[in-house]
Amino acid sequence: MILLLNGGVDIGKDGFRYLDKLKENMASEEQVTILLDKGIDWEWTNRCLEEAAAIVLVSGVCMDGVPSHVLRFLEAVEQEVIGGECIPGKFYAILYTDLYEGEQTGAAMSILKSFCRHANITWGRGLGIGGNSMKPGMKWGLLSFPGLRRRICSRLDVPLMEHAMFIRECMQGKDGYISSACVSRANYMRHVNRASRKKHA
Amino acid sequence: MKLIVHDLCEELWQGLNIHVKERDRVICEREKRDIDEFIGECRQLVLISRCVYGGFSPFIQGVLERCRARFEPLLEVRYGRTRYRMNPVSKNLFGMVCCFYGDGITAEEEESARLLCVSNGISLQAAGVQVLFCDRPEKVQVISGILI
Repeated sequence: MILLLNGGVDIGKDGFRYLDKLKENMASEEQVTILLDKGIDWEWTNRCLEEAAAIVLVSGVCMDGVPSHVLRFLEAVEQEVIGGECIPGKFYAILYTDLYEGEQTGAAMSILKSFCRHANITWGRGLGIGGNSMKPGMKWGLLSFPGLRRRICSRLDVPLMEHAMFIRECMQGKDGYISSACVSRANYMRHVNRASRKKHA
Repeated sequence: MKLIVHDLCEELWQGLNIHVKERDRVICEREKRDIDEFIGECRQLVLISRCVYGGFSPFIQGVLERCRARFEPLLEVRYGRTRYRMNPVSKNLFGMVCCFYGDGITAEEEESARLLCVSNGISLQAAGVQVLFCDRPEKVQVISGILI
């Protein structure tokens, strides 16, 4: 069984997008999704943690760190482990940020690795995604020709497919960081800023 | 003025005998206030946090998250990376002091905490960032020497 943890309601809404993509590539495996909001059923969650072959956390990054509600969840999980429960599954992470560079999720990734050491969970692999504001179907001004739209849609396909493969096979791997390779940083910023100005005008 | 945000219990905080002037602001878990209303006028931002996996404790992280109101929803490049642009009204030059406490903080966690603090310092446009580590909360008193 694969346990998918969606890092929250507000900033985690994009998490569904990545989870859906991941699920497409793990269709043959049994999956359980838990939303890390206030109403966590701990009895059920603990049972899932014990039974899962792989645990996947999908979360946004806030002020370069792991969001506070996710930190609270991880601390509670660690307490459960100290309390005697053993978590045999490997831990995988998908962290995303609106900033262009995927590497900006690096500090949060280190925090998650440290959690794994504390909770005695084996680290599987991390994937840091930059340019989260670039969503498929968005109009990119002069650049919105079909080829680019196709590239925006597919820029995540390969890394997520690869990540899903590591999860499916419960393999360990080197962390990956992806930026918006199909759009330059200047274009990405121009677009995000233009959209923000329009929204806040 | 200096702005101190800490996650220590009241008894421990009082026991530290850190000199707080009348103008200074202290924010703790009991007092549910945000820092963005004070950060614009402070000269020193002091974060005293339990080291949780090489980062801030959930309380301090939550305070920083709410501080995002200071950012405009616009991006700019600073130090070679994209960052959120600061609201010009609240743009300020202040020193940032981060003091982590906790038993058995590993070298990896120290490195991760330093990285996080510097990154937050750049985001908040602090003039400089100083990071300290203590193995016990009682030792947090060492920051007295660097407070303005």
